[in-house]
Amino acid sequence: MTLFLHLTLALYALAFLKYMLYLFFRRDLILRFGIGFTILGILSNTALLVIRSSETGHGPYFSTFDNFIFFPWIIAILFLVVEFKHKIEDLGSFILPIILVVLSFAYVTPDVQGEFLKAPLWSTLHRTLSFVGYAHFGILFGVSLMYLLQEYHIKKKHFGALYNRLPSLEVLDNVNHKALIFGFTLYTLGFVTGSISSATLSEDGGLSWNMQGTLPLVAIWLIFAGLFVSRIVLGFRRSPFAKWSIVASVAVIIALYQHIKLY
Amino acid sequence: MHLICVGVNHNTTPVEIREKLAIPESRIEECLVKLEEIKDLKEAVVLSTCNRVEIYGRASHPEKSIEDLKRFYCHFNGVAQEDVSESFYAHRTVDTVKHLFAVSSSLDSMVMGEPQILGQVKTAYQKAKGYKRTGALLNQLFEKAFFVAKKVRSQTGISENAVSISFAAVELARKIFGDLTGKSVMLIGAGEMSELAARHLISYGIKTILVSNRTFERAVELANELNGNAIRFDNFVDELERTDIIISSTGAPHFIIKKDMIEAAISKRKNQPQFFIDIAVPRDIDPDVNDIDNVYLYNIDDLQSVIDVNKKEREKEAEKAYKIIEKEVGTFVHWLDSLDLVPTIRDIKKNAEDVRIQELEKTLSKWKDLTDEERKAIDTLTSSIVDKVLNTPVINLKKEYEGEDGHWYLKVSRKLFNLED
Repeated sequence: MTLFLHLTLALYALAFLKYMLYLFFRRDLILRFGIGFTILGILSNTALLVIRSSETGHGPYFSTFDNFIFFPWIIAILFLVVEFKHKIEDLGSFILPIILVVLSFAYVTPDVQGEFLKAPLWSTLHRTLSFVGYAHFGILFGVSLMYLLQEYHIKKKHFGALYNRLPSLEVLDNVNHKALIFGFTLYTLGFVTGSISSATLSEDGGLSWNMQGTLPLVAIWLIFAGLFVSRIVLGFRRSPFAKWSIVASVAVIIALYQHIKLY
Repeated sequence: MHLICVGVNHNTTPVEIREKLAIPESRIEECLVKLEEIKDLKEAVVLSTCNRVEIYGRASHPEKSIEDLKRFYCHFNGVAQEDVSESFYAHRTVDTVKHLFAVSSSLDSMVMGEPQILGQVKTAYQKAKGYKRTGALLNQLFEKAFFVAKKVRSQTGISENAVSISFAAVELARKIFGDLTGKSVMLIGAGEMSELAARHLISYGIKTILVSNRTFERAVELANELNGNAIRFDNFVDELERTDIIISSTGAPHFIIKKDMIEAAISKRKNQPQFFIDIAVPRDIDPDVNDIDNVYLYNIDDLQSVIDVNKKEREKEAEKAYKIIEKEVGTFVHWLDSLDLVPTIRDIKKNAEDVRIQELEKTLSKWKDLTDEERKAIDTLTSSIVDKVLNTPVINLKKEYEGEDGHWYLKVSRKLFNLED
């Protein structure tokens, strides 16, 4: 398994390197290498997850270590989908660092097997949906960063090399819009299934809230909901939205850390 | 066999002379036909644009053909040769290749990196090919030039950034709004420059055009030309919230668009961005407007600085482009050399000589008791056999090479004697 962990990290790192090179040298071949390495990284990541699951006998959800190898996989897939759909060729330079950082945490996390919970269906659903929701936050973070960089060029009239490379503000804002809607919906579903899961778990069949564990998740949901309402209802778009998305992403990371460290 | 190019362009010749030597499109055919009178010129392509007139060709005696072409230009256009003879430049083989590669890649254009020239070169080549005035050599040269131009375009940023005010404005608008289809533009003041910018925007899909001017009649006039609507000058403020791009160029002595107006408009627009282009001097729009979120304001100096940066950027990219061209000229000239007659004959003879020496040594090593005199006689004998056998093909090859199908003979000879690279 360790071999695949090394391999996955190496492949994502190579993909990141290629994307950075593409940012500056603009050769199609480099881009193809970047995409290729990302796909290979995802395959290796898949193998890693399969091996891990066969060792533990359940899906990769129940320990912090599992989380750190599962999250990169989801976000890498999501990133490729967004890149192909919206033709944002430089997204890799902004998203792959997130993947690399998260995956690196797997190295410093003790590889203990998590407690296998008794309600695997709801629990599995909860965790998968939540993770896909978080992955959308990852996209929101990367794309908002690109947005603010590009806006800085246009607003301050400093036209560096990146100005030509980055897509238009409109395209970036559109991706943010979709990331928010999908992310919020999936996360909310994850939240609901999570509640059902803990309800099923408690012996008397009633809801038993583990305050310490649940509070961060509620906070994340509120952050998501806040962004959602301000954008969709109040028309809080583009530049201010990108700024708040970054603040929100950082808040989510903190909350998530509080949540995960309990397991 | 040599490649030559004779012509004039915007760098070497003022427009007064260029226009005299220009070959209008309607006369290209006639020109190509008349060029056949220059017997030494085996192939020809005529390229005539507003910035250049050039004839590319293949010739056996380049200096003579170059002089013939200069005379041809004058004769064809009815110009006295003394008046223009100093204006021509002439390139020979390697320089011709380099020149055509640079022209096709838009490095020799008046506005470096402009995209039209490649199409113009292609058309010129297609015409000549259509009239069967090109052969293996010019075909190869032009196809290679198109390949190089594409390579330069994709591997350098030579055509990436706008170098005129109105294009710079369009480019910025596209960076803000992405696709411009369905967006709206309002012209405040009906000046020439704002009209030009509006026309560029329209060509990118902008549908709604509003024109406001102090003299309402002028607004109506321009609105009709642009297929838009005129609005009274006093009412333009009401339209602000509905407009994405505003181009202002009035003669007002003070700001006519202030920060509070835009703050009100942008909040009604639910943060949909707005792009203001202020090309008036003195300025029409309060510069503080740029501080509002999702509002972008450019004045004439800002646009000019964009262009200056872009021009410098293009010059830097041109260095990269020349490196690409240098390399491609190298490969092309190598191919050209390999076609040449002299190296072909030399190779044929060398091959035969190698075989002769090899066989001679093999035989002589068996006949140890031969005297030196006898050895020498055998050497002379084999040598003269080889020379005699090769003499006729070489003479015929030289003769045919000067003819129409010279390249074909050369190619076949290289094949028959196994000299392919």
